[in-house]
Amino acid sequence: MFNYKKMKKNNIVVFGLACLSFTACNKIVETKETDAIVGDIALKTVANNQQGIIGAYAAMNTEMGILFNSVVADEVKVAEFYNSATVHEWQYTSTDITVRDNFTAFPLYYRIIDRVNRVLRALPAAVSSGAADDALKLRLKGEALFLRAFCHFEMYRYYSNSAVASDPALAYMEVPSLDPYGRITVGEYFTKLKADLADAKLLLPNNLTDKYRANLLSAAGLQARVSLYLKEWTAASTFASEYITGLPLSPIAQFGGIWTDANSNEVAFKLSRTPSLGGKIGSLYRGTSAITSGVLNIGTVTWKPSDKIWNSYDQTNDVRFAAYFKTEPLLTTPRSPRLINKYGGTAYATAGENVADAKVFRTGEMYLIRAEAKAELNDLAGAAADINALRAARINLYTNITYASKDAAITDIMNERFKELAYEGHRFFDLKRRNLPVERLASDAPNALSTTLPAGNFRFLLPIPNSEIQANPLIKQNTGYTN
Amino acid sequence: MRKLVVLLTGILCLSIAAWAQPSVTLSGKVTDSKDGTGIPGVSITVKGGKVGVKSDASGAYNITVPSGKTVLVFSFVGYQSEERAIGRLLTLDVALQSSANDLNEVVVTGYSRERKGQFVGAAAKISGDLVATVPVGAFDQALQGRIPGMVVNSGSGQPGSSATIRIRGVQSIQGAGAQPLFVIDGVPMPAFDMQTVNPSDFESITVLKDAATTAMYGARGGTGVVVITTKKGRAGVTNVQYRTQYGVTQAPNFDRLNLMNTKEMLSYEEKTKLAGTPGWNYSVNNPANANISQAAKDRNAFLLDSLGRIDSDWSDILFRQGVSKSHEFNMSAGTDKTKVYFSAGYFDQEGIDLGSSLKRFTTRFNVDHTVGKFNIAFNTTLGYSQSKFAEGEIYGNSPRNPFQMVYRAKTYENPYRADGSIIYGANTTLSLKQVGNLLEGIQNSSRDINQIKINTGLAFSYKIIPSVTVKNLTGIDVGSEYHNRYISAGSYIGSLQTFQAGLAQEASRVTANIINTSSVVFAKKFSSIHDVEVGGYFEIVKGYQRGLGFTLYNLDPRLTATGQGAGAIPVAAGQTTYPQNASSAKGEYGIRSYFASAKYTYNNKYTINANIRQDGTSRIVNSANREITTWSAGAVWNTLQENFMSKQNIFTDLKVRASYGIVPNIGSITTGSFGAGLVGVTNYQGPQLPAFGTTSYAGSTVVGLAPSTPGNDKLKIENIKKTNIGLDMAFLRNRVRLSVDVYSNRTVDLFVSQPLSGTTGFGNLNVNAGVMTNKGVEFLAGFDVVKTKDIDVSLGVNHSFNKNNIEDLGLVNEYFLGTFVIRKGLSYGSHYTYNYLGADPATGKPIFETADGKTTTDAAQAGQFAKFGNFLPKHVGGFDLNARYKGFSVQALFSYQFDVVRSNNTRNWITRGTPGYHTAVRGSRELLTNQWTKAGDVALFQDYNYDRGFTSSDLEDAKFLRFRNLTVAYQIPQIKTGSGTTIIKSARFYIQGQNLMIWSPWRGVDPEDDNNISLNEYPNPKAIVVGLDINF
Repeated sequence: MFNYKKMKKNNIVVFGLACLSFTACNKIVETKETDAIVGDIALKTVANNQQGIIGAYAAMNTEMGILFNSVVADEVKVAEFYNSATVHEWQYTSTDITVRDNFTAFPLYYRIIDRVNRVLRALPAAVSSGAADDALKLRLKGEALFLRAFCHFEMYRYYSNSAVASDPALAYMEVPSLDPYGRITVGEYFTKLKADLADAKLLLPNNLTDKYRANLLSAAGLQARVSLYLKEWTAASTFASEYITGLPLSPIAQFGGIWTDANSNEVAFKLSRTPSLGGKIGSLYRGTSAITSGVLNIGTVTWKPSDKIWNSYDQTNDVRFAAYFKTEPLLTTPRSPRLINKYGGTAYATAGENVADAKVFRTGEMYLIRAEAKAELNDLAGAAADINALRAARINLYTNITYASKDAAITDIMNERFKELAYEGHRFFDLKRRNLPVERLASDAPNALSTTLPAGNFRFLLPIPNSEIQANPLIKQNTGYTN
Repeated sequence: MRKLVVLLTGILCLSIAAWAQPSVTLSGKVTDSKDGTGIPGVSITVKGGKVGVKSDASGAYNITVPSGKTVLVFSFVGYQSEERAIGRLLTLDVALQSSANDLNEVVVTGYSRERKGQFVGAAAKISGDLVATVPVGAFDQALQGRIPGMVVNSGSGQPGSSATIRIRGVQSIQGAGAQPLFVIDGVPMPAFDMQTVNPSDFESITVLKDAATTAMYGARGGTGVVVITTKKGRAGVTNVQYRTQYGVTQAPNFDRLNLMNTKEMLSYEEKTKLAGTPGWNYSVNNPANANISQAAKDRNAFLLDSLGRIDSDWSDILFRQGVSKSHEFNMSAGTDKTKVYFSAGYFDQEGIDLGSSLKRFTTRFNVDHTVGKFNIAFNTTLGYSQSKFAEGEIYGNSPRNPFQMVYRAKTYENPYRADGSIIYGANTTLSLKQVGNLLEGIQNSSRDINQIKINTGLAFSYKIIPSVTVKNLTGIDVGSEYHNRYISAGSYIGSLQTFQAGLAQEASRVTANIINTSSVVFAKKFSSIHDVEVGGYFEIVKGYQRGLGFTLYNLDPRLTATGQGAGAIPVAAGQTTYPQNASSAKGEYGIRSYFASAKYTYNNKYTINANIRQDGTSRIVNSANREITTWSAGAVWNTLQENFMSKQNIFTDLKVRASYGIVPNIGSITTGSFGAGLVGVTNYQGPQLPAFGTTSYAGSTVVGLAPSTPGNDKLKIENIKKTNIGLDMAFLRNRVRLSVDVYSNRTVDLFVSQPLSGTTGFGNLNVNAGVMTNKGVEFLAGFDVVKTKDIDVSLGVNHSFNKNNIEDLGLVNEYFLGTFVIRKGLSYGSHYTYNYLGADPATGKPIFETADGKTTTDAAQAGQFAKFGNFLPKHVGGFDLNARYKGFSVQALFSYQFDVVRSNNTRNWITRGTPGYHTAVRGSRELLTNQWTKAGDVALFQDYNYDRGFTSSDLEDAKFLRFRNLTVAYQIPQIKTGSGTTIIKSARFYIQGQNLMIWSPWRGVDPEDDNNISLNEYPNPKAIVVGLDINF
């Protein structure tokens, strides 16, 4: 603008030729893109916001936690292909957890959080086409808040997992932002997280019509899980009861059907997986098979069940053993016949092989949460009653037990969690939460140095990935990691 | 005053009378040595005297020479000065030779013409003649080796394909590929539309490099400006010219790859037990053949013997000798008020690839008309081009790409039957039909782009009073492209398309750029020593793009040209939606600039120049960052005008120039693209806006929507701080001319792809976060070795050195990009890979260097290093030799680059030495002698049981010296009838060769390329043409 006045004095007509008024000139500089689906346009209507929520579900993942808890704890042993030494043998640093082993919750969960935060920001102004849209709007907000809480809780389990209010959690993202954020305390983190869940519960559908999307019971399940990790025993018991009331244990004969997706007993929320969409959970442990020239070649077994877990079941009477494992006669020496079959899907070399829905909350877990809470509250009889109820639904010819002490109860409950929740992404987090060591049998460990990860070792928390440290000057690394 | 066209000056000077004391009166005519036309305005002075006249409109002159004076000096801008002894002559006709080196007298910056003595910046200028006749479809390919500081590298030999140009290094990270701004007679033109422009119309090409020179272009000139002026008419001179050219293009020599022949390949396959290959499959040593019947054994031996006799010459089969031809007619004429130039041109070149060609039709009309205080100049070109693209340009890394198959295909494949028909169909390793399918594909498919090009500008100026001129320029550049991809329904390749019956994709895109510049310029000389010029400018640039495209399937097999008659598309069971096979998009942007320029010259000794401007653009989303104010300043000291230099007689020119300024860089702002079938439409703000894409969740029928880019609403324009110091010298009566420029450019607010915190949900973001520097030296020298009436020998050399350094990346210290690493402290383009140290003699495993300097055979332990060099050449240059004996002349141009390392992906494939590769890729002969086979072998390449991947062994020195161009010409003198009627004024017959020879340690086809890696490039052809220019 500096020379405008001078030029005006000389000859305003010249400007007229080029530009009839400054409004027109400003239009030149303010030319907008008309064809980009960006910003406000993308989430313009309620229907668009539903698309945004579906976009968040599309990124939802429990598979990483399933594999991570198996590999880093005592659920599996090395089989035919081994390239996760840094995780399995607890050698990880902030660089190779990212590069080689791909256990980085950071981009995964914050991406979902960003997606729901964009919906939460756009939703109030979203164009509604009527009453149905208005109702949908409330549900979408509930789903967004639930997913935000769920993802933050997953992040917490990897990088924080402490019940001490002053310990560092992570950043609790409530708005989409490109700015770096520092870690906040566990206390602050869960104030936000609990508020999200409480709000979500008011909005989520109070029915189980669509288990592929979040509902009221999912939120109760998450509240129970959160309370357990925070050692808020009364709340844990209350929320677990809410879930159990809404969704009782499966009949024992139908338990196996949960895992083949023949039924969805006990499950309030699961992530849909099909041969073409969402990935194959079973492939975390065994690759898919192929038939070449009429000969079946069973996929490469990357992880087989640890002897510790294999031997922990009553293999005759416990229906979980048959649901979770398989002895495959087609696998002959040198291949090992023991397979993890929890997510085996349909027959070998079929499209549905290794395809199974990712179950997020189950009634079995709620019984275990409530039992642990009751034991902590010194209600040993109540704890035993929950454990007995659960086992009766899993083990034929089961006889009830009683607990002599709180410690005995806790030990038994933890052992039951190991068996009930095997390969569901809980084991390592449970050990950390209870300040227990990872203890492998000598026959399970890849070498003598990797039988035990002592209780309280810094590696019970994952390092903040180096890529995050480089990109975010505000973030603090977890204790014990140098970079 | 300096803004007056030089020719006008000449005309005005005609009124100067010959007023000196009578002694000898001499007359004659000054003509252009090339075409024999008279040159008006030539300054004719008496050596050692004060007398001087100018030639008239026809080139004639009259001069009275004082007694005792014996030598006349003839000089004119753009021509080499001539000194002639008078002797007893009464008439003296002189033919002046134009000189590329001497053209520097006037510098055209696009907004003004500046006298070199007052020019503070760094620019290099060449004559349009140097590119006019080079047989390449896009003239920028001909600039290599001509201009110091400018790297011109060709990425493709497709006729009409433009080169990649970098002026003074890569100035940006995100905008590393940004091309300089091309401006034709003041009207900008997209860098990649050169296939539809006739370079024969070019008068001069000037490359602007520093801040002071590019200041007038502001935000559009960040990466430099190439200013082109086209030919104009001359007052009183009418010239009619016909030009033609005919020649051939040839494929380069592939022998450099040193590939195995059929026998060697079969034996290598056997030796390495390559499953599925004939060499092993039919081998008697294959255990699978141990227990087969004698008949089967005989059959195997027969097959091996038959295959061994096929040794296809892929270069011969896949390439052709292309024909290149052109015709042009032009005419220039003028009076002192009106000057015109017309031309019509036709250019037709076949590529060496079987399907590629370029046809171009152009016309140009330039008119300049002055009435009193008004002047109007209208310069227009219209062009239409038809480009047929090679299949290789479409497929890239694919067995459909002839540029890949020429080295990859096994030579025991025979693509032709005895009757000449192509053998095509399902391909297996034992029954190869890859080349057959490729050839069938070329025959039955096409990819064309037809472009209509308009580049037109009308400048209107009005001299209010002699010292104040107002001017308005309106420029329109339109490129309208029609794109077509067609695959015949009835062909084999057509049966491989979706719905098994051909494919027709058509798209159209119109790109229009409008520029309007208004200016008021005050120019006056006070007391004959204070030369002042002040200008105020206002400018609007608006760009529009619109495109549409569609795809048709299930074509009618009876037809072979378009989608006419295409059948219905079947619907899959359960399908609930129909896909759209058509799309459209638009994009636009605007730039608004205010700027002012001031210049003051004192007594021709000192000139200072300053510019200040404000650019505003819609290319930036954030309205607070849209406007940027920048400035530049410069000075030149003409030392020969100093009193203390008046006695010296060594130098004929000695100037010191300096400039500093800030240039914004709009060209580096990353853009997105909207798809519209075959074409993309630029999404100018795309990467700054948070964009969404679709995604699917199996648990819902609703299509998911997810953010795909984070957007950055904080982005601002990066800018480059440019410092330039230059020195111009001439001595030995201008016979030796030398220019040296030293520069230091510092890009700040650099566009960097910064890794993002995970909390953002994205991986990285384009931000302004870094600093990059380019420092260098440029050198240009011309030397007239011999200069007589009959013999001229001159030499030109230019060399430049550029050192790039990434000073800062903001929050991060490094990230990876392709084969190289972007790291603070390294130069842009530094290769980053494993250091391969050969095969372990004991085991044959590949040996790598570890991060701590030890060696390992475990790839997981290998470190990656950035010590292998850079794909951008540090040193580039060229030299030319011009010699003339009477009418015969020879011009030779060599270009070179060194301190450059490129990733030879082709070599990686042919020397990979693993079964995975050599089942499908013909090997290099080096594998026969330099691959580990048994314990104790000292070999470069590892045992075939192991792989070494991509390593330092693929990085090769890509320096080269290229014999770029040779022109041998004969100037045919005037031809008259017996009665004295002129039939032709003059003519020139020439033979020209392009890309004649290359010397390089590079073990690929061509070390020259426009990127870091070589794999599938359309090789640059060798071209030889004969040409004739006739002046009537």
